[in-house]
Order: sequence, then C-alpha cells, then structure tokens
Amino acid sequence: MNAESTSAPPSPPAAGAATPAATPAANSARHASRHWRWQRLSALALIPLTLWFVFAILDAVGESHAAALAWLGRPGVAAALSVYLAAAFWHAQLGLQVVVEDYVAAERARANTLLALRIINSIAAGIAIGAVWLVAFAS
Amino acid sequence: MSAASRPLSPHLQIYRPQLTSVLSILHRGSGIILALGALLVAAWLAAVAAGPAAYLAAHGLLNSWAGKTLLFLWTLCTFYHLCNGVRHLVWDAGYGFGLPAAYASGKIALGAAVALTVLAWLL
Repeated sequence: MNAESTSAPPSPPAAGAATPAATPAANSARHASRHWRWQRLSALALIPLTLWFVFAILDAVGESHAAALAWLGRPGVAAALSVYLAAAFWHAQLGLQVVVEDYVAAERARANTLLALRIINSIAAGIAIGAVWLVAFAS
Repeated sequence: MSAASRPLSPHLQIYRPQLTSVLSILHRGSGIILALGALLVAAWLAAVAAGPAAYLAAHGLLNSWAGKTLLFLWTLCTFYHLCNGVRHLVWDAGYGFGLPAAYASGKIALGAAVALTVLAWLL
C-alpha cells in the first residue's frame, strides 16, 4: 500500500448511493464466502478429530455401560468429543445446506427444508454435547 | 417444447460414468449418510447418559449383525469422505487440477479409505 492511499481519508459515499456491502447481492456474496471458509475450517479441524473418533467409538460401542461412563468421564475425551461433535454437526449443516440449495428448486420448499435442517442439527448437536457433559460432570 | 419440460443441464444420463464423476457424487452421498450417522452418534451418547437400561438397548442393536454392518458401512463412508475431503482441500489450495493428477488422487483417496476402514476393524 502506498503512502498516498493511507494518508488520504476515504471519500464519503454520495447521498442516496448504496454502499456495495449494503446491496442484497453483496450480502449474499459475503455470506457465500463465509460459508465456504467455515466449511473448510471445520473440515480441517475434523481431519485429526475424525481419525481419533472412529477408532475410539468402534472400541467404545462394544464395551459395558460402566466402561462407556468411564470413557466419557475422562476430561480429555469429553473435551475432544465436544469439539468433534460441534465441528461435525456444523460441517454437516453446511454441507446439507449446499445439497438442498442444489436440488430443491421451489423457493418455499427450499426455505422450509433449510429451516428444518437447522433445527434438527441444532437439537441433535445439543443432545450429543449435553449428554457428554452430563456424564463428564457427574463422574 | 415448454420451458418446464426442457432437459436440465448437466444431462447426467448421457455421460458415461468416470472415476472422477463417480467419486464426486460419492462424496456427496457419503456426506448425507454421515449426517444421518451423526444423529445415531447423538442417540448413543444420550443412551449412555440416560442409564444402564437405555445403554443396554443401544448396545444390543449396535452389536447385532445388522448393527455391525451399519457400523462398518459408516466407517467406510467416514473414511471415504475424510480422504476425498483432503483431496478437495488440496484442490482448494490450488494443486492437482490436471486430469492425470485428479485420477491419481482419486485412486489414492479410495485406497486410503479402504485401508483405514480395514485397519479400524482389525485393530
């Protein structure tokens, strides 16, 4: 950046003229790039977490209830699971959203499906993380 | 021909399936399955928190043949989506767009997914 552009104050937008960020198209573009970024950030976080989770859960489902309680009661496991679940449900929400936007053409049906997905994923994430914390803090 | 009955791009039915296009739709398919699987993960965690009776029911289902088959397919979907997801991240970083590279990375993702699945079920 040169000195001229940093020292000169930005000229105020003309009265009545919409600033680029205020137009619906620009908001949508910003929303889309945010979606894109979060989808990839959650994907990056999920690489190590998923590798751990698959091996851990395949062990855990064969064990007794007492063993499952003990496993969830370990602070490291509860913390890693919380992060994993938050990232996984979020990543699922972002991915399903794209699928719906691609295949559900009717505007009303699309809006309703997107809302339903948001509600289902939020509730499921809440139940999953809530269950982990319930066990972790009770033990 | 009315606008409503015109064929829609990309005319999927006239293309011969290729490794690249099949892997692409499998990424989406496995993603949808994993979103459903996440609901089962939530149910299992809820069963652990709910107590021994709920846990026993979940344990019985998951350790039946149907349950184990489901878990195996879930493992395969997870590792496929993970490996192909890494392939997508590499593309996002700007690498591997050439046709030979796309085929090679596709085969690597598929192989890695199968290898990880076998490893997870043998260990």
